[in-house]
Amino acid sequence: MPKRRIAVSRIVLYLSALGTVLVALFPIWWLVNTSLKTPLEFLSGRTTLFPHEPTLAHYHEVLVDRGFLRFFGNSALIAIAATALSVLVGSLAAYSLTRFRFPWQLDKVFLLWAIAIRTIPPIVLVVPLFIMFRELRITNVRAILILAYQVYTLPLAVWMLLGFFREIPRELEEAALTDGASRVQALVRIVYPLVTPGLAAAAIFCIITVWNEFTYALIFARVPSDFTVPIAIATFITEYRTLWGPLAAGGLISSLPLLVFTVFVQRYLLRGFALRGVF
Amino acid sequence: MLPRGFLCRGEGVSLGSGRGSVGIWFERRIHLWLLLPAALLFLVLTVFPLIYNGYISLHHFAFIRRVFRFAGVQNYVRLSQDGLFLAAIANTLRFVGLATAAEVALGTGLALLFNARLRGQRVMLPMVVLPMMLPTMVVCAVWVILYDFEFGLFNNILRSLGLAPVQWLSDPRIAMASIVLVDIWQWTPFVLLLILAGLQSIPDFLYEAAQIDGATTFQRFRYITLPLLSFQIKLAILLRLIDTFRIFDKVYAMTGGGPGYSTETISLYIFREGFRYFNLGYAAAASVVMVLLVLAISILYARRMWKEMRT
Amino acid sequence: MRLRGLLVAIFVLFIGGITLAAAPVRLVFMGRDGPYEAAMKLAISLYKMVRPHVTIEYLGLPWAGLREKITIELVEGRGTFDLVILDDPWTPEFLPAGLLEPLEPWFARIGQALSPDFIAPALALGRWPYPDGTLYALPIVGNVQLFAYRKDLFEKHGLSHPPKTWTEVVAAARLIQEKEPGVFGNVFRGAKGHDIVVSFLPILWAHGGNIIVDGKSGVDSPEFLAALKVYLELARYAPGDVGVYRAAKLREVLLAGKAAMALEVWPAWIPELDDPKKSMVVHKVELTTHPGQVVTTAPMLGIWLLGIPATSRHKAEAFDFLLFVTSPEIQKVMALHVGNPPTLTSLYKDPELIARYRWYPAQLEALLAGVPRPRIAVWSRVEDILGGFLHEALLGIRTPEDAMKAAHAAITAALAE
Repeated sequence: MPKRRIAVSRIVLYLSALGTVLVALFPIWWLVNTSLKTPLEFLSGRTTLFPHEPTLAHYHEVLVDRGFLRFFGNSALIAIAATALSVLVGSLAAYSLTRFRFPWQLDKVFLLWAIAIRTIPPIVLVVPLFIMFRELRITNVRAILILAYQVYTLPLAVWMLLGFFREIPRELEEAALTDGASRVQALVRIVYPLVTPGLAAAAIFCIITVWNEFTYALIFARVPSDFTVPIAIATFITEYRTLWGPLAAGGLISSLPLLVFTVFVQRYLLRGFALRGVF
Repeated sequence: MLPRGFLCRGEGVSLGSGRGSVGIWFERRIHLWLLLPAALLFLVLTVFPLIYNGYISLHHFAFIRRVFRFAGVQNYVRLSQDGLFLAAIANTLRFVGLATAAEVALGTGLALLFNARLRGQRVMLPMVVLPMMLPTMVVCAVWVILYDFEFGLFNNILRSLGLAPVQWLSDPRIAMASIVLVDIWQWTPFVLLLILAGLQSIPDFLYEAAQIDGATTFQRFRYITLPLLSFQIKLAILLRLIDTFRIFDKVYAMTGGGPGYSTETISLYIFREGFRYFNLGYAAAASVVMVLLVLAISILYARRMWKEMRT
Repeated sequence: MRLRGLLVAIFVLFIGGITLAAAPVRLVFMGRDGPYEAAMKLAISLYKMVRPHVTIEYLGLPWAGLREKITIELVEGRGTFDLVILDDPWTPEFLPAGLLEPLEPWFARIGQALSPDFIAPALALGRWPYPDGTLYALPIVGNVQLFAYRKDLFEKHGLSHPPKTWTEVVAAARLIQEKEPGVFGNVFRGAKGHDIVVSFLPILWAHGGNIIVDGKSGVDSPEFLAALKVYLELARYAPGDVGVYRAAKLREVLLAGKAAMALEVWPAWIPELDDPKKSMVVHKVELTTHPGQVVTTAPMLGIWLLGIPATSRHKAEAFDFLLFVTSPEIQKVMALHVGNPPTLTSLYKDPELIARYRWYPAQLEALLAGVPRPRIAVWSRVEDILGGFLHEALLGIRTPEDAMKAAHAAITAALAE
């Protein structure tokens, strides 16, 4: 192919990518802008590329005055634990569902149930879950949330991982099994390394879901030290006012860990790092 | 006759060799063991609440006053007669259709774009994915400001171009579309990541072999990429379908169901009945209807995905 | 210093009070965040000095989901909270359900009488049946709607006094919007549901109308129609999408100097009107009681009350704190240092407070004339119904007459259930 034609199509691709980045980022630019504006400048409503009198006061308020680090700790612990649980349990289930046949259509029932769960507005389950945890005498808020969040994340993990497990050819495990490995060994040593893009994607989605969850975190919290990041951010929107500066600062800070996580996990998502194909 | 594969896994997969009798017993039922943790979690955390939900949907349950009496199908009858509920269903379906179609189409396109190994990809991807990482509360707050009629950015731009400002959130005809736009902005990255992961799983050698055979870019796309991606795309549609069905946060924060009843959705209806009026029995009935509705849609849809999964 | 003097006074008053067992007690207080939290935490820290063995843990919940959380905890939680904050519209649902502890037996137990200093309309909200039944909660935040206007713009355009009737409001709005570029005649919150109802009620009441009359819907009335027409007229001199405005937006428009009048201002915002770091209308806004029409003035009350859950395991200590936080000394401290509006009449006449907060006389007048939202258990539903039809009238989807009739029919149906 002529070199020129390649270059043109390449340019088009780059422009589209840049355009996408701009569209994705412009409200975020607005947030960054607002997080650095004094309340007065915000009120004046002038649209500027960068505030005339930038201030870090909002960040100070969020991190120091409001003690966001404590809430980050809560959110991180709960998010990682809930995601790990879902991805582990979900991958086992997804593997099983793609490899074996089940009696009485159990597999179909299981998958449909997973879908059904996801359709319910979470608040509908709040009252029965509340009662259940109370009757079971489970009072540790973090434990409650890690379990309650399975309602959100487990169906997601199962359905997402289905596709990835399905793509791994059976012959690979067959070879291992005939070589004397147990099913579990075959699963761990051969199949899991191959589904890492899927595990990574599932982990990202689960963490994002859990990190930003509000309803359960509010209802099950007992005291302020139980709060997660979204609850803390919600305190910037009150009945009569929205504290735009801290809200913007808090919102941006809140997405940082998720962003870092994505960057970190990206390598498992994007080719060009290690060879994914086996042959 | 027991279905094949009940006690032992079907499909002629060989057992590992050299296991003890306990090991064989375990291996024979391994499919059940692998499924058990997930099934157990579902049972405890979802079956109970859902059954509870179904149970109270047959009662008049005024939560605050602790009034709980059997009402049979009264709640369901009342639902069928409530114009607002029916409008909510219609609005929800409209939202689902618009949002899902746009997000999947756009997300797939973007995934293909990012699959093309552009320079700077590693930096651009997290940026593009950022919208879905913001707390929904913050997203709604920002877009409400952008949509503001008098002082918002969008109308300021329109005015400076000499065009008439738009009533983004207070015109009954376009309020829903404005909310769809926010959802598209926030959740297209979800589809992007999902499809991208799928694209990245397609082994390079397939493309190389095809290229050696002289296939064009388009042919490679049509005969290699698309078929291998179809499951992911269908999954993306299914997941977005289900998620958009639950639309609540954005409507609650941005329009409260207005203007008029143009952005009333089923979730908003359930929330209002259940957690504003604390009429839990009635809200439970509405959520049962919602679940059945989505199940119907997803069963029809998932059935087609099912066949693919087996092959 | 004055604060120390106060503390001595508190100390003396309380040390001479009830003798409680000195065993350490932990109370948990389910409250709100924001300025309310600051006020309560101040009171709690002062309380610790007089009752060292009592520790009060404060849960400052955000506005989003506040009512849901409090409701679920009160109904299903068991003894986890000893003090709970309530917004006055919740009382018709919570009080008859026996979720709170009656307070009069506790007054009797310690031989103390209920202070007559409480602002009567506020105190009545804590009683069921309203307004003179059993007492379940005491008012701690004296919130009431006030009316704000730009004194500088009024003077500039020859209006010598704030509007006393709604007719004058409309005239002033029209005048200033025409003459003053970039400024709207007035601003209010017209968002569907709660917001539009709350901004409409003072106008409705001023015209002599009411939502509920003798237990039945009073919506279909000439007074209602008159009030609605005034409201729609005012909307013509308000920002274009006032139909999505909620309180936060209203406040911002006022602070940005873009409106000549705000139909509704709450005490919590007032200090910042004169804060040069937050306001573009420093010393330009005056506060007054709402205009009347048929009635002199009828602003809406938005009182916050404090109660003790019936399932609390430390009611004696909780009651002691309740008395503490509603005592004149502590209410004054909370007002002085955090700006919390008191619920005791005498404090609104206190020279020190008036020097700090010049609108207190207006606020007292508003509180005494204040009208609460209808005390019916289904108020949430009625409010949503009304809020829907009012909104349609505002957007021009329905004519005022049509909206009124439809609202009347729907409210009648809701009351019948």
